[in-house]
Amino acid sequence: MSLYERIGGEPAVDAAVDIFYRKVLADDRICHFFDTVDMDKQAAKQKAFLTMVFGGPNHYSGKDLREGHKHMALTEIHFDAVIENLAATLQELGVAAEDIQEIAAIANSVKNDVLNR
Amino acid sequence: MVEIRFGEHTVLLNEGESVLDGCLRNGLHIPHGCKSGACQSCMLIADEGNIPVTAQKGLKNTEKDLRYFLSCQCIPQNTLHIRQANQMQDIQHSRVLAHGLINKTVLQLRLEPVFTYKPGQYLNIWQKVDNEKTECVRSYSIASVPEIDDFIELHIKIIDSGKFSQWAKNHLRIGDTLQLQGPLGQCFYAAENPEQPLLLIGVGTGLAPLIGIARDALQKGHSGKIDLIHAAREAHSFYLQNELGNLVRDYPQFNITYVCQADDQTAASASPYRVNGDVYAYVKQHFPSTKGMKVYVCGAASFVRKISKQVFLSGASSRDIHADSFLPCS
Repeated sequence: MSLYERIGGEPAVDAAVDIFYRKVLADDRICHFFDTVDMDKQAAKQKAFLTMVFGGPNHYSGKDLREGHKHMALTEIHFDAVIENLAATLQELGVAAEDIQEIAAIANSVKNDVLNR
Repeated sequence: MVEIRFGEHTVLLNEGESVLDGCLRNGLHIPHGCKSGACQSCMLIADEGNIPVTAQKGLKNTEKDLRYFLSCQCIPQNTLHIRQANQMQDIQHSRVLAHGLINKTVLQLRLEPVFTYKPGQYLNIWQKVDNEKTECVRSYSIASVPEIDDFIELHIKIIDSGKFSQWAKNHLRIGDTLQLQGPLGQCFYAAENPEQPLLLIGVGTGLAPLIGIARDALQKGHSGKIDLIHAAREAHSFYLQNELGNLVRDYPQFNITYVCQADDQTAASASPYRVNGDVYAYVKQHFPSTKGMKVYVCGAASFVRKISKQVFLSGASSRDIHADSFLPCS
């Protein structure tokens, strides 16, 4: 069984979107990146992001991630904040510790692309 | 082979191929992103044909009603006639049936209903002003309900230096013809859950779509609570208070509150429904949890952004927040 299936597939992603997005908006380190854009579009983006880190079907390339984040001047602090909120969301949803680690590892694997390094 | 008609193009889909992949293979340009049904950037509209259920997964009911679908998730069984989701409808000519100020700064226009619409959607008016020199395009939300009203009602905010609003106030007359394009937008009532509490929050002429949505919900038998909050800077900016008072009288599930943002003590006693203060604080205090509610917010973009975020953080699901931002024109 894949990681994506193990944590519950698309319904799990749907359950995680609002919890994760609430945490992000309440986080002073990163909430300003999410303030100026349409809520609907943001929720759709969170879903795409969560599907990717849950090991689900996605078509993000390193180039997409570089392009999408280029203008934001992101640092390690911002990246870590997202990972922390992600882990807290998963804990809240009762995801097993080893699965959370695997998800964090997927997220960390795109770090250089997101930070444009 | 399944045939897809896209404007003058015809695309034949391979076995198991999505509408998006088929169109891209034929050199048609369709914006797209994740190809997984998540980012929704490849959304199109199917005017004819059966849309597979999977192609509408994750869309709002309002979007489903308008026959939006995700082209990357769409593997149809039969012919589909599709178009871009943002493609503009044709211009319609509509006569002005009624024209008058309903307070100092709001012009009420009633127009011949030349298309079907859902209350809360908006339309564009294309109009030449300044002796035919400048063409203006302005978007206005629809306040009327097609099943009840035999006109399309708009509330035009009069702006001191506003090209269109000044023209509409000073030169537009009953019997004149306006060029309309629409309807557009997804901020309307979808009768999916008649018991769900509705929270409608608007500033200024943000009342227009909200009164349309409220009346639409009531005439469709919505039984859950409907709270409408109309905020304005000054007490004299409130309008349609008789109509709203009638709704309160006729429907026990309907409530109205006027939030007057200026500190106007005389105004507080003028209406039993009026309070003074800040609309954000009012919502926070009276609706500490918005969990399970459907929320409609309309008004200036900065207000819409701030209040959407607030009601989301207090519990409303992102899918249950419908927003209509009014953008200024130059």
